[in-house]
Amino acid sequence: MPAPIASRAASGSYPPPDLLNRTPWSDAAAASKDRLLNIAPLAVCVNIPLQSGAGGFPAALYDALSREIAGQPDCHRQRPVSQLMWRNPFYRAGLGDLTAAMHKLGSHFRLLSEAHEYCAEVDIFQTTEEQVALLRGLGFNQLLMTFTPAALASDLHGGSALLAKRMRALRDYGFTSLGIKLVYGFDAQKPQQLRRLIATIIELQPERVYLNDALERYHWDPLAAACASSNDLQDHFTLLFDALRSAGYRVLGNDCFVLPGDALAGAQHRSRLRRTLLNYNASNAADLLGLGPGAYCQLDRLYRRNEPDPEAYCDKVARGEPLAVAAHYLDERGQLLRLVIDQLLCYHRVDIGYIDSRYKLQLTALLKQAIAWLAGRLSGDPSSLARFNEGACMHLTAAGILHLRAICNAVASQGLGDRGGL
Amino acid sequence: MPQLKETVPATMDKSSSDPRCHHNPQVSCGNCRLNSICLPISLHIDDIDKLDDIIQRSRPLQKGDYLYRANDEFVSVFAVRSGTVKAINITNDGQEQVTGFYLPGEIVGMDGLATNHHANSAIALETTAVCEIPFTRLEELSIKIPSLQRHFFQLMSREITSDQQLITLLSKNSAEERVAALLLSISSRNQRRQLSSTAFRLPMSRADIGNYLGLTVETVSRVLSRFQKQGLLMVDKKEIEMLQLDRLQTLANPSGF
Repeated sequence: MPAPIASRAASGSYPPPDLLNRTPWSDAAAASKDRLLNIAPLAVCVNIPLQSGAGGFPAALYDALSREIAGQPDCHRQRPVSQLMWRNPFYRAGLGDLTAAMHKLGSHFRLLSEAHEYCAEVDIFQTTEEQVALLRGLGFNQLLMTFTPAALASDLHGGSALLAKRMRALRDYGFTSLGIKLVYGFDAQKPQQLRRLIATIIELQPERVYLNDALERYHWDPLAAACASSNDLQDHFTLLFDALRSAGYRVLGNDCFVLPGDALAGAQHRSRLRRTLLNYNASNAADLLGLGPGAYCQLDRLYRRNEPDPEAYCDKVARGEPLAVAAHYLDERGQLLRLVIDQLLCYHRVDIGYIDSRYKLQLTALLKQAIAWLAGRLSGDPSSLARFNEGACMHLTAAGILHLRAICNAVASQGLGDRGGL
Repeated sequence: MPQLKETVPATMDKSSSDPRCHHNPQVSCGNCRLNSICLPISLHIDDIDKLDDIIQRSRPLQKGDYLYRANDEFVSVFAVRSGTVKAINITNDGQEQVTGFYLPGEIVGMDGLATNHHANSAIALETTAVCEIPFTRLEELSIKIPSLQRHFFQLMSREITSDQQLITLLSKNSAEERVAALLLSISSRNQRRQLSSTAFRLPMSRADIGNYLGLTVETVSRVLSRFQKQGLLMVDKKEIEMLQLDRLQTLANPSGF
């Protein structure tokens, strides 16, 4: 006798519930291994640090790096690498060194041939055409250009024509995104020079401009930190921020500026922007694996830093010792704080309704308190920094975006950090 | 270890299993005049002997002979000892596209590394002698001799670099810039072999040059004539004498690098 024809909705008919409820693992060990195997995209940063002196930089650094790459566990190696940043790939190294290291990386990780963000950070005035061609041939499609403190302090005077020529050549090579890392806060920088510098950069129309405080050692290197000054930092930052915003750049966080057609701007518009300790990405990478001396990792709740001294790093690799010199594991409160700060940086708003329902919080009160505290310190009105759509969202104003770092600090110290509410 | 019959190119004498050069048994890496630019560079004399042990040398290829064909299994890379090899690709519409010229001391065949099959065919442009280096054995040897591995990656990076430069050259540059870039490339490669960087014989035809640079034969000839009129070089059939290297360099490199 034929089975009766079901008159229920068709969308729930296949696969049948008994199939869906079956375990996909043959045994408990297989299940455990599979759970460890996170296939979410991974960001990788290879850090080759600049050195202020001639000594202390081992020739064997690339060999040590290769061994560190080869020693990574499967749970990292099998994830698709959607974002790659290689800092200073040619610093005291040749074309063959980078080719060998990239070959090693490609042998041990799932590098992608398309839909990726592979960026090299280079001093564009020190880079040769062969190096650029090699980077492109190895699959890099983005370039982040840096300048020496001396070049920045002289507002690229005399170098802008050459820079424009090189940027045209880089586009001819097919780099889809050119960025400039603009470090401010040097002794020698004066407002007038900064205005000329930012005008030159805006004229070149790089897709991205990253503003880095010279005192922020995390982002920069000993060469810049040595001539950094804490005077006028805020004024310099405001000057650069206003100039880039007026020129039509879209801002991520308050220190990453992108042209409206750039992939990051599109990701922000579509609410698909992600951020790691490295920077923003449009390829859904929420974890960062750092390789090389001083590299930072952000793997789920774990934050870790590799041994920063290149010589000590090579020694540790040779002896098979752990490379981490510092590590921090986010607790539940830390994760919540990161969620709020990521939303502030990526979208300049906090989705209060979502967070309240997920974490059983009353986030509005905590955020209002933090904003009020900061507004008091700035002698301003809280509404000049943020607007609240009760129970749903907090949006930053233009002034709020400018003061984003202070807002994040206030949320950490005055809101979620101290009061908790968890 | 790969079978010898697989490592000898189809056009070579397959009965030749002696690693010494078929027509000159005295040839070895240790006494080759190209060992300062080829794979033995920076190797210790004992290591050169180890490298020599894995190399196969057979009788020379004649003009038009294939060293390997596209889609052949990738088994070996080849060092050009004398003569010139061109690499060609057949486009979707059946046209031949020259993708590179390999001069003495240069390694050809790395196009098979990624997929284990050659992407291009390699053809001798004149009587050409090559040293065949079975890749599996080269990899084994590289583990024992790190400097060999390092040098191999240098050669590979040069290959990747020139591929990218060619793509960019063809996509953006003028006929003058393309011809000047090729002449300068041959000049610098001659210099590396301690030959004259300003006076040399072009080993390839105008048609091959045009094909490689994406130009017609007539355009190549016209550009060379124009360069001669401008006093940049002297041309006598295949003989070239470069008179103003600096101006040619400026012409070939408008990018500012």
